[in-house]
Amino acid sequence: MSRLTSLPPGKPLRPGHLGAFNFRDMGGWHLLTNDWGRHLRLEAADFERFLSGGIKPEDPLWAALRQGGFLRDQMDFNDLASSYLRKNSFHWFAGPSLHMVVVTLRCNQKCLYCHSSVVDPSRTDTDMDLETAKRTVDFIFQTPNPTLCIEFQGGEPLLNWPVVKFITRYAQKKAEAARRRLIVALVSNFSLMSEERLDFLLDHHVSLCTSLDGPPELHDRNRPFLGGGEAQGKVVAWLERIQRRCQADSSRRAYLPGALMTTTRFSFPFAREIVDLYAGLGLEQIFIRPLSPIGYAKRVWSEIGYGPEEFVAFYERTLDTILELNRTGRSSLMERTALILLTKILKGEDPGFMDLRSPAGAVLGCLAYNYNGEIFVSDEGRMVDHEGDPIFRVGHVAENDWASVLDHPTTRACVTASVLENQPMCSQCAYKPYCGVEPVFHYETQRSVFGQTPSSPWCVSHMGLFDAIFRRLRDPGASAVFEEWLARDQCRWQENDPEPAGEPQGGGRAYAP
Amino acid sequence: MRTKKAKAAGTPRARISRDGSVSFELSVKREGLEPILGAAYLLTDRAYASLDGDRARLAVTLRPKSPSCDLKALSEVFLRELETQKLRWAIAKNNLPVHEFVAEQAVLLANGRIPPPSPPAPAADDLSEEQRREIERLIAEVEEEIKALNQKKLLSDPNKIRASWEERQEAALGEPSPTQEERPPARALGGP
Amino acid sequence: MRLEIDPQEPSVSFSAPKSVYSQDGLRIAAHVFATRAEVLVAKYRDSYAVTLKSKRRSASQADLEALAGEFLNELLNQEYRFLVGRFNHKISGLIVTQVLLAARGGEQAVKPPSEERSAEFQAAVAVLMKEAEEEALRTMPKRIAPQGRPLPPAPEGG
Repeated sequence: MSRLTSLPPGKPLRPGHLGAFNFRDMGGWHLLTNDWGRHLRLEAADFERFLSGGIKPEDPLWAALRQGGFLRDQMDFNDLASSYLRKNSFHWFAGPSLHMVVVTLRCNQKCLYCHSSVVDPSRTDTDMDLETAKRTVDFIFQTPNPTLCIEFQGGEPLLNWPVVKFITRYAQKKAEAARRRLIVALVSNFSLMSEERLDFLLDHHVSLCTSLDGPPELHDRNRPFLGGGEAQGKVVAWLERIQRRCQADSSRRAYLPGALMTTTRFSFPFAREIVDLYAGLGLEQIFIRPLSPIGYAKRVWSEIGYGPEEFVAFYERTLDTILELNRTGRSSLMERTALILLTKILKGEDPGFMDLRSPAGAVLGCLAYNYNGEIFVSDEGRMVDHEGDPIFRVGHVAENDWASVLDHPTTRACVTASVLENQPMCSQCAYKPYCGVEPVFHYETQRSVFGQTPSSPWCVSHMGLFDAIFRRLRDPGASAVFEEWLARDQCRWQENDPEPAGEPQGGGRAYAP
Repeated sequence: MRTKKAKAAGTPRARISRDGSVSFELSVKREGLEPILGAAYLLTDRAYASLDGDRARLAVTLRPKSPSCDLKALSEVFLRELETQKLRWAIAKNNLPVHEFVAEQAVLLANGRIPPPSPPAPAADDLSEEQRREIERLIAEVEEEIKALNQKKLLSDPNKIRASWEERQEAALGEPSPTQEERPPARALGGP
Repeated sequence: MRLEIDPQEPSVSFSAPKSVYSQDGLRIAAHVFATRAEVLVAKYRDSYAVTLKSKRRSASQADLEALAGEFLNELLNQEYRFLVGRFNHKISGLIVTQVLLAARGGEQAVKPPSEERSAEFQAAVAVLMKEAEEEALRTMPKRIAPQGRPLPPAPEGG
């Protein structure tokens, strides 16, 4: 059958009396979903009875079908509208909340897959200068979302430390004056961290995140230093150092550092070791993400890349390892992809993940600012530009205002292309209420922002992820772990942080570089 | 009642060619344009699909991308997908007004134009005897009203949301169903 | 569908019936294929004659058959997408309108608060910039080249 799955042959149907739903054959049972985020699992025989109109009010399934909005003449439109509204709350957001600022392209590492397309540390012409930094912050504050998150990226942002400090302080000053909520985050390889820099970052409530691909033999292979040297040890050392400082101060416990891993082909044999490392470090979450063939990674895909089915198999192995640790009480490590999908499936809420929204978060949810002030629909769009194709550039901080970025034809194209109602296969998929498409990914892999879904690697991998989660939801042990994760999920902790934006704690400390 | 032969006559047949392709002659009226395109489209991950014909009959030809693909199996997959697409499209057409209505309601809800749904009623155990009697009285009143409404065929469905697509077409009394010629021209994408 | 293959050129030609495929679909598919083939289209009464001239210097018969097959799949992708888009146009239009209107954040652009125009605020920002400049001079490597064109002056009010 096709990847959408098909009906068992020769079964009686009464389509005229069926409500709105999509379905998926999961092998022995069927999944029903609808556009309002409701889902139901039916055994094969019950699904056939449902299709033939054989479920009557006295049937035990009738109540669940009615509750889910699957019975045509029993639909509570207000209730469904309310679910739709909650699930798609971002449709009503006033502009992007995430602003990724690339303060330099310079880096002291040469990661195999580096999307950011970094340059040698001597290339100071790729540093963001102060005037551009100021204009970037001014532009960010033009966008209307009451909550703004500035995330420093690179290259390695610590190589342009004065600008990182300036943007942090200037933005916090503006946030205080405008009474807007500001979150600042730094993504760094930690190799250039120092105690003084850490003092500044913690005092200014900057969230810290690093890359940690796995044990040294994996991490150092993926992410070598320029000129050699062991990278993983430094990352781990600083992670532990920052954790100790945050745990020692109750006001900083909410700022425990995070880590992200990037999956290359070399990661596949290390599923257990990666999980053990994250669990051993006491990290709260691990985010098992696929590598995308975008920008520089596209050039080296044959060496480090893999097919979407291979990634899904790796994901399932790793997830099962994590679930086993949770079930046996050896760790409470959570997996972020699962959390994102479960937030949508079980809580009916938007988890704030740009790539799985309809329409996608490009421009509407996030913007990327290059070192030279150019504005892109997303960081992936910026990487495409670095390889010579400027199609995803939508403005410049010194030349454009927010309205002109929103009105840009590329913005409109990305929005239109990522509405799932416009995607032929997606519009019929059981995972439609929870999924999304990424225009830049499709442009890079299929030469069109719409893509061609049946052969889209994006679709294959995401369908596989949803299959993995829904299958495990049938297992009581795994389901209990998932429910516990959702109760604990900290992905929105910063939005609840009572600390106001503005001046740091204990202001007036002098920070040495 | 149709004989087996007559029923079989309605099932599209696959023609396997020596050039390594399989093709189907399909009645657009019987199968539907959308299901035909949909079934062919879904198999573009494993086959090259080409279409020929006119508004009455479409020929779909599938040529596998992989030489090891079994053509008979491919043809069975296509026919199964065709049947499934017929169901998917029937559901979509029957419920399009529902989708549109609920989306519009969500916009009104977000803008405060309609009240949010009421919170669930208290559990039966929490009710006093007086409350229970009052509820039973109200239920009886509502049941009488519903009976009266049903007799007048007045459902709270001013836009005929719950009516199936076929019922609304019939009710349109002679309005022709939309055809391929009447489709509006495709919109152009914005671009730099 | 009959394919005419010219391995010398290399190119492959076929006929695309107008009853199934549209000019818009052909145009978009041609853009999608721009890096792989030059797409030439001649219009006839009932069909389009399509020729794909491969951008590879040489291509085998199998390569050209695959090129034609992929192009036809892309054509079907476009035609079916048009059909689905038309079917769902009301709801997708509602969504796109809603998200773009919401993202605009209102009729008026967001203006900096009056506090930012105060002398105190401006002075504080000037101090931040001066400190950052001094730190950069003291600690950062010298620029090897200017960073590109000078920026236009900032608009009034920030």
